[in-house]
Formats: sequence, structure tokens, C-alpha cells
Amino acid sequence: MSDDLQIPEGMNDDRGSSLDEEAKASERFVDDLAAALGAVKRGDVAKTVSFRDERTAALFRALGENPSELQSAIEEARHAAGVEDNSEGDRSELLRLLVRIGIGEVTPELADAEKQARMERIEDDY
Amino acid sequence: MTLKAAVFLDKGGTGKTTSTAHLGRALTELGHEGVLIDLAGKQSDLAKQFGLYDDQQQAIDNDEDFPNLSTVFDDDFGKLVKMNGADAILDRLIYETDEGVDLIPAHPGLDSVDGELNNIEDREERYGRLKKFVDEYLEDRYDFILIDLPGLSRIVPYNGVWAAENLIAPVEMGSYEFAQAKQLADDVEKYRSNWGIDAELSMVMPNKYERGTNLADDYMDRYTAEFDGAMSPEPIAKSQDIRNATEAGKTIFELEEPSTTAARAREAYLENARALVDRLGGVQ
Repeated sequence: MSDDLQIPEGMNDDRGSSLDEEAKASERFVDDLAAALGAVKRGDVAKTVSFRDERTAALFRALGENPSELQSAIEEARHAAGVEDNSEGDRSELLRLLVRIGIGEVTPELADAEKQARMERIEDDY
Repeated sequence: MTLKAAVFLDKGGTGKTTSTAHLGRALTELGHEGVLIDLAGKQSDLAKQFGLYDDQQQAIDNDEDFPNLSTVFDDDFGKLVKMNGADAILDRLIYETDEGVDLIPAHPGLDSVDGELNNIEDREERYGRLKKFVDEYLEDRYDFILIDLPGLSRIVPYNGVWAAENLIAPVEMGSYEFAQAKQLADDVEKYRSNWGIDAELSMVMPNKYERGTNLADDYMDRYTAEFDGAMSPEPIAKSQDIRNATEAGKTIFELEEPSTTAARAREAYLENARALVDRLGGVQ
């Protein structure tokens, strides 16, 4: 019906119910995430993440000075994340695992979106 | 001047859609041209009432449903009209029913409109979008405009209140419904004082009325005492035929052999439609 109509730029000519709109927003997020994964892979975006937090900085400083505490925390995090690995870990691995566990537990929809985005990337790569 | 009214009560299942359809049909029977606007939810009950539901759903499935009622609430609706002309847009928005009255059916997009309007701070912008559409594009074309509102106090229904100002409350004979109608009368006062609009409870119309029962008589007395000038001249008789006609996608005005109760309900709708014209003026 709208094929012969002129539509103002930016106007939503495919408005669905709030449930449909939510689904569309989530699809857009997965697309953005897949694009970001591609950018990281190509080196257009840094692979490192940094943040400022005094308490976490102090905790990781102390873990660095106490290797047995660090290794024990890494093993617990690996167990929680379902990672099988007996090698010696480092602070970077511990942070990575804790963030991933946090995302999975607190915001599972983000973890799902990330999984879908990775699938999208794999499909695009082939 | 066009007769404008919204059928509203902050409760589901009191017969708002049936009342909108039948009052609209009665006004048509009296020779007036009008349009019904369905803001009552994505289930599109008014389209079902007039046998247009399948056509509308097919348009949605085929992505042929733009523009629709949710588009009217868009920031850029005015721009859309300017770019294409009002006739091109209204032709797509308005459905003609087989019963003479026109219909702008509900659309699933309406339920995401509420969230969008919620972010708008300016009160007239937030509650006045439908009014702007009605005043600019429909008023000159029709003798009457009836709006079917959902039983919810949210932004889209309030747009209906702003656009129509005159409210019709279909009620049943029960304590809960009586309290709801009183609440609506109080709310109308708040609409007037808080928003500065000329809101009015123009008609309280008893529905599913079972003549001669003590309960019905008792409640009718209570309603009459409370809403004296706003009561409809006739209650609408409870009739299985109303349900049957709705199931068949038409109003009881289209029944060739209406039952006694349906015939009585039809006369009551006509009488109430006449009273609406008397009270609200507008159509001749």
C-alpha cells in the first residue's frame, strides 16, 4: 500500500506491536554486535578493555602479589564458567572470566545476543 | 460542526466496542455520515464487528498496512500528508464498511505508540496528537466521529479523550460498574481542571439490561439518582442476538429477523443516538 507513497526520511513505516518493536531492536543490536566483532577482528577496534575503579585496582594489585590466592580464584572462575584448564593463569584471565560469568548471569540476553552475533560472523565468513 | 464522542470506562468488558459500533450504526440509520476510530487495542474488535478483520490482517501480513492508525501519532504525520496529499493518506487509513459507517481500525503498532509518547514532555504534544488529526483531517468530512477507547488510563486513550471531549460510558447493572462510572465522573472533573479541556460525561448508557429484574431496577434507580442528566433515554436490552450478530461480523441493524430483545435494543440505540445529537449538537 505504501509502495507509491513518499515517506518522510526516518519515519517508521513498519511499526509493529511493542513486542515486535522489542524484537526488532534486539535484532539491530545483534547486527551491531556482529559488526563490532568484525571490526575487532580486523584490528579497527582495540582488543583490550580498560576501566577505572579503585577497589578493583587494589584487589588485582594484591592478587598479583599473592599467586596462590590468584590461582585459587582463577580455578573457581574456570569452574563457574565451565572451562577445563589446569594451567597456571594470570590476572587478565581472571578478569575476563569474571566479566563473562557476570554477563551470563546478570544479563543473559546480552550473552545470547553475543552468541547470535558470533554465529552471524561465522556465517558471513563462509 | 461535527459530533465527537469517545466511548470510555476504565474497565474491560462493559460493551464499549459494541456500543461504539451500534451507536455509529444508529447515527448512520438516522442519515448522518460518520467514522469510527478504534483505539481499543490490537485485537481490532471494531473491524471484526463490521466483517473487515480478515481484509485488515491480510494487509498487515502483506506489508500493505501503511499508513495506519499508529502513523497518525508519528512526529512526521503532517509531513507525510504534505508530501502525498490528505486524500491519498486518508484513502489508505479509512475502511468503508458494508453498513454505511466508515472505520479507521486499530493496528498492532498502537501499543508501541504509548511508550514513545511517554517521552514527550509537552502536554499538548503528548495528549493532543489524535485531536490534531481529527480536527485537521476528519472534521470537515464527517457529521460524527466516535472513538472506541480501551479500558485503560494510558496516553493513547487520553488522546481519544482530548480529541472527543464528550464521553459515553456503557455500564452494567452492578456495584463494581457503578463505582467505575462514578470514578469516571470524578476523572472528568480532573481532565477539566488539570488539562483545561471541555471534557464532559455526556451519556451513561446501561447495557445488557434485563428488564423487570429487581437487581436491574435497583441499579437503574441508583444510576439515575447519580447521573440524572447524563443517563441515556433507553437502556440496551440484553440480547443473545447482539452476540450472534457480532460473531457474524455485523451489527443487529443488519439482522433480517431480529429477536424481540434485539429489536428492542435496536430501537434503544436509535433513541440514544437521537439523544446524543440533541445533547452534543452538531449533526442535523
